[in-house]
Amino acid sequence: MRVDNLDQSLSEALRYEAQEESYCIDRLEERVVTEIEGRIPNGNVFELLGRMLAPTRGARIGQLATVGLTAVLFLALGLFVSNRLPIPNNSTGAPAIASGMHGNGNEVLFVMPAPGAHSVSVVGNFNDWEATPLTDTNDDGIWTAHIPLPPGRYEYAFVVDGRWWGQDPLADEYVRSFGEYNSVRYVGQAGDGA
Amino acid sequence: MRRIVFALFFAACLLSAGFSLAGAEVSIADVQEALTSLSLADSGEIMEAFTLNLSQGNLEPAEALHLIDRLTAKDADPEDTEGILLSIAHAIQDGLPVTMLIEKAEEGLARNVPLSIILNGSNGQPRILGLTQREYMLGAVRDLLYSKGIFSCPSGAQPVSQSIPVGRFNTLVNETADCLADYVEAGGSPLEGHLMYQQVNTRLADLSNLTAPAILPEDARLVMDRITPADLTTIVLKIFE
Repeated sequence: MRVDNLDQSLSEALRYEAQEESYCIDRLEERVVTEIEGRIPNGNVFELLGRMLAPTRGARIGQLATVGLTAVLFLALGLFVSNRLPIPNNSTGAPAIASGMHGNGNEVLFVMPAPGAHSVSVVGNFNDWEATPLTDTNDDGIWTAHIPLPPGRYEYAFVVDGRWWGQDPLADEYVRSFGEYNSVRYVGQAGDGA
Repeated sequence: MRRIVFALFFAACLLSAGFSLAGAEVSIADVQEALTSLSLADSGEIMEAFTLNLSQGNLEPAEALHLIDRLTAKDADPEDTEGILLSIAHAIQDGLPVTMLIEKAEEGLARNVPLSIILNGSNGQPRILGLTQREYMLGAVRDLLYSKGIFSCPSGAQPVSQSIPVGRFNTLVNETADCLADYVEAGGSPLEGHLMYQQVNTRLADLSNLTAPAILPEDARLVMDRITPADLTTIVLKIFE
């Protein structure tokens, strides 16, 4: 009985309120939609998404710090790896054999195959015909020496265990001298790609 | 005590390094002293010529001293030793470039070629040109260029007409003569003038084609435009006389 009375009282009160505040309910939906539209920012979808996903100021500083730290780590890793990897270097690379010269200026590569030899050297007008030794570091019988020379024409010969050998396959030309052969190399020829 | 010993050792190392560096610089006086020690019969002429060339900067003291030391170490007949130095001295007195002569003397000594052959060559097969023939070749080429109106002028002077600064001129003479000598030693015939001409042309072109040209292209062209195969035949034929 008491509940029925309560329901009735509430219904009457609501009816009264509805009649009194009718201006608030009228065009309520229209006003809500207008309000929402006013708050929607202008711009494209990506801009909208960006704003929606934009972190707070504190979170943004944290993200920047993380990105910076990662970049530094990758840079350090790259530098470490580049120092460890055997990156081909022009001063020791095989193409130098083909051109006979390379590097800064004209470092000429002299190569003499002499398996079993005890000593190999090169003599020429670039060293006053005094022996400059060749080395065979890996004992494969290929003796080599890198000698820096300014551009010019050079006559030379190899000396293998005291015996002169003037016919270098890498020479540009050969000349006779004192009844023997000398090799000739032109160092710094245009188009050598040094 | 250990510290004192270490300090003394360190100081000694520094001193010896300093002396070594100072010793690396060869002076004209060093060359003169080395020439004096050879006890040459005609040392005056040789000394005068070498000193002149050294003081003019046409010859490096270290280069000259190296040759003299090598001759001394050879322990050969003093007459032959003197002959080699005289040959170079004569070329200097004649105003010729001596690079080729010194290089050939050095090579011959390194090859243990008898000094008499280094000096006078050999008419056998293959023919070997000694310093005497090479000196003649240098003079003949120089005279040929003169006769073709190609002259040298002192370094730094403004070239006029067809004059070329002396350094460039000497390189032309040296390389042309050396090329002709190579042709002869390779068994080439003096009558094949066009072959010699072609060989000289190739040599000068190769040298002017370097990244730092030993011979300027215009100098090479000037020479090749003016000399003829017959000129070269005339020069080389005298070697065979």
